[in-house]
Amino acid sequence: MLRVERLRKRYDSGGRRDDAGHLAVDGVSFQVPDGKMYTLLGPSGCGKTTTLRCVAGLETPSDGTISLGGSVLYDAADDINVAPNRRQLGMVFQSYAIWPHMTVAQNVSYPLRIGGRAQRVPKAQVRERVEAALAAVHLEGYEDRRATALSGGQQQRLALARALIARPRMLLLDEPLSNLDAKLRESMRLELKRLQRESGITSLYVTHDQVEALAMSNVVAVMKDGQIVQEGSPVEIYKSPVNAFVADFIGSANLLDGTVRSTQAGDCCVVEVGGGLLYAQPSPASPELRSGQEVLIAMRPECITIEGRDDAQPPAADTPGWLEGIVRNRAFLGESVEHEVEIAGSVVRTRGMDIQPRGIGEHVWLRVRGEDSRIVPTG
Amino acid sequence: MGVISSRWGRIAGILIAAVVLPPVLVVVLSGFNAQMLGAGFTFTVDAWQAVFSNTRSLSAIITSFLLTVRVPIGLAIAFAFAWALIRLDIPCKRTIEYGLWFAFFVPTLPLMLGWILLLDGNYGIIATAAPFLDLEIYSFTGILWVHLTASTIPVIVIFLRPALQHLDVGLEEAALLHGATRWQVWRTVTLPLVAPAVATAFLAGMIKGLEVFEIEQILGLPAGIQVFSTRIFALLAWDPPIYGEAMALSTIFLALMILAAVVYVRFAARRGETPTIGLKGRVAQLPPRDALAWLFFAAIAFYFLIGLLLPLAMVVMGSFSRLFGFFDLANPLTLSHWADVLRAEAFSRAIRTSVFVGLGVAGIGTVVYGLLGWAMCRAPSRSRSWWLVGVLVWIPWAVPGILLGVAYLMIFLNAPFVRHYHGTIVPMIVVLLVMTMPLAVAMLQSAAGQIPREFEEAGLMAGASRLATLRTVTLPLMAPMMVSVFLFALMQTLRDISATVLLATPSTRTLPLLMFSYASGGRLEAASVVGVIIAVTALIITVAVLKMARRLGFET
Repeated sequence: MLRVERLRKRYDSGGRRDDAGHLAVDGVSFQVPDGKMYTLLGPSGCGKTTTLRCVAGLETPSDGTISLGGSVLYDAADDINVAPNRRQLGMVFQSYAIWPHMTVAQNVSYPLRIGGRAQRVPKAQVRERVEAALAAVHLEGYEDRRATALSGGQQQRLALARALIARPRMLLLDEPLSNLDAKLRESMRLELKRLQRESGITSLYVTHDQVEALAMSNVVAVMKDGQIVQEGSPVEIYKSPVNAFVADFIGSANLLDGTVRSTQAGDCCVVEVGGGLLYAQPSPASPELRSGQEVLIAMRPECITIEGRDDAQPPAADTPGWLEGIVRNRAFLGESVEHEVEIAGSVVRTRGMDIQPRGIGEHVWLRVRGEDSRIVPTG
Repeated sequence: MGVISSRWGRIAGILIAAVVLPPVLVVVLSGFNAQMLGAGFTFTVDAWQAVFSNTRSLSAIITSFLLTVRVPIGLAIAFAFAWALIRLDIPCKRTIEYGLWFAFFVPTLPLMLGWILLLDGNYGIIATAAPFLDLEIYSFTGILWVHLTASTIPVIVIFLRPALQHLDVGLEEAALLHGATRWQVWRTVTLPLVAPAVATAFLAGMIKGLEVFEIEQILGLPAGIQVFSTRIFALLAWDPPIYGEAMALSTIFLALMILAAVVYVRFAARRGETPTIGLKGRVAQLPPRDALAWLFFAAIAFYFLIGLLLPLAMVVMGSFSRLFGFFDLANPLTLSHWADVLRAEAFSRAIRTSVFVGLGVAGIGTVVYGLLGWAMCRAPSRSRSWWLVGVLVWIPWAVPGILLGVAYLMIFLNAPFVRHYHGTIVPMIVVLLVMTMPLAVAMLQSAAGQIPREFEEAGLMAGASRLATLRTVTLPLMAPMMVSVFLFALMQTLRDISATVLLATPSTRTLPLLMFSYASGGRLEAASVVGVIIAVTALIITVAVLKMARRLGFET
């Protein structure tokens, strides 16, 4: 189990008086259970990579503790800071960091050939393990190629083989898929997940891509401004964002201003937005709601159904869950169709498998179910 | 990564300051000191009064500046050459490139000897064949001509080419598509984008152009032309040497150079900001080889033929001539000068000294500057001590060789602890190390900068210690550039006259100093022999450096 507690990292200003430095990680705490994949997700500059590099030992934190399986890697109070080469971690870098002056076999066997005498592995065994490691990432037969002759996807798999060959205590992945093209990224996502599951290695994954995070992780932590704002399973993060930032960052939520009209104990409320009334669920993080309160409603585009005026029976006036609007824009995306519908001055995006696009300017009804719209704090 | 802390920056800063600042301090303080360095300090302004009451010292500085008129001339020609080499399909590009680098490496003195054979008013082949042209090498224009052809043009072409090469043609194409004519594109897009690079090359040429010594010493002396460096040399040649005035004069010059260097750094920094130089820049597609390409080829070939090959051929001939310049004797050719030189004790000593000094400078320089360049790359970007290291490293660049030589001479003559090294090769190694520092560090820093930090971090994460990572990852990747720097430092030893001329004793002369002493003693045939040997070595080193550069993936 990796345990990170109250981790802080401040970049100092290099002695310049006019600059107090920059707090990249601000009191982050989390745990990664053995064998699980834990993902730090957030926009660039949120501190996720710095956190990972602190775990790796490539950055020295300013405060906090980091321990792995009971042994302390970093402790500010006791002045413990284990050197990165003694932490027994494997890491896949964003750029793969495949050494161009070595062959594929030399790259992958490096962790077995280097380090103290005690760590080194006998030659015959090195060969065996190199073959096994390359086979695991489907690079068998490439041993003697120059590493630079590999394609991006192959380099990425080589980096993974190199990170795993020494059987590290934990695997760190720093945006490993971001340099691949879209199609390759998709297949590598599955490949990575398979390797992680098969090897059962505890993994810390950093990405800014919410699809990657949701698809691969056991637990996702969304970060902003050096802090974790929400931690949970992919489904929890997706279904119950604790605030507007998470709702917007995970998927592309529609955010509408509204006023609470009636509350029912613990369950759905009725909220008035421009264009109509909606049922909405309070987020676990939002405090008690009362009638008349200004709130923000998050709705996922794929949870909104679009109905032509003529298709459906127009609902009775003021029926919650129906909004009236005009189609302003549309886009055919292949597997789905997106519409932008104007509702009393604000624009709501919908995404549906309904291949028949609506005409621009057409009057439509939008239907939103109560469990699909969520009241989030505005923070 | 906290590999390189500010603490190391402070240590490096102190060490570099210890070799870079004393020369400057010695120069400035000695101008105000009535006593010798180390004997105490008695304030005086006598030396300064002497400088200002003696027109020869001040006019030497003015002449130094007048001679830099070759820089704008050379810049115009070099710009055209560089532009044509990048944008036109010129034949024999590879050969031209080798020629440029050879011209960069070969010392000027042998070429000058060639020009003496051609343009000496009494026996020069061209001068006597065309007396109506009234050509005379021992003159202001003679000095200008030798510098312009032998160094100014090739050096500026080499400086300019990378900047022009990385100009993204997309920027020009965008202007074309918006309806600009070719001339408008050139005026409104191209020129403003390359202007900082041109200005930087211009200032670099000016600064380097003010430092020259040996050409002025040999060609200027008979004509009564003195520049700053030769004036210093003359003041120190008195018995006893007039140190005070030399130092006061040096202080004035140093102030001017530092002013120029500050302007240069400003320009260089601004050039770094322009968006023209980026890896994404698309290099121009060459148009088909047309008349213009052939015209430029002819111009460049003409330059090489006249500016480089002709004087080189002459100096080879000069080395075989019975009497320098007199090819119409009954039996004009002889091997005796080669035999004399090769048999001379002075020559074998010069070879030995050159090898020891050269290997010392190249070996120490490559290792120390390699580590320094790497550390500067890996240092925290906001560290003030590392910023200071970056500044200190460039100081020798603005200090003329003769001035470094004088300062170190005074230090090695008078300062305790180092005094007993005077007369050995140690002072020469030190001064050449200081002289090569700016460029060598810059070259190695750029090589280290091309190694992504993640390569080293991947080594650490794989379990390698910092030292093992340096050895197995960083060093192999920097190796080609380190070899280049090694050869560059070696070549510096085989070129330099100004910095070492005052530090060498007759028993510790390097090859160029031997050549210089032959030439200034009137033994021009013997000087030619040594000149040919140095030129051939330069050719070998040029080829080796370019091969290395290719391996490194630099298109030079």
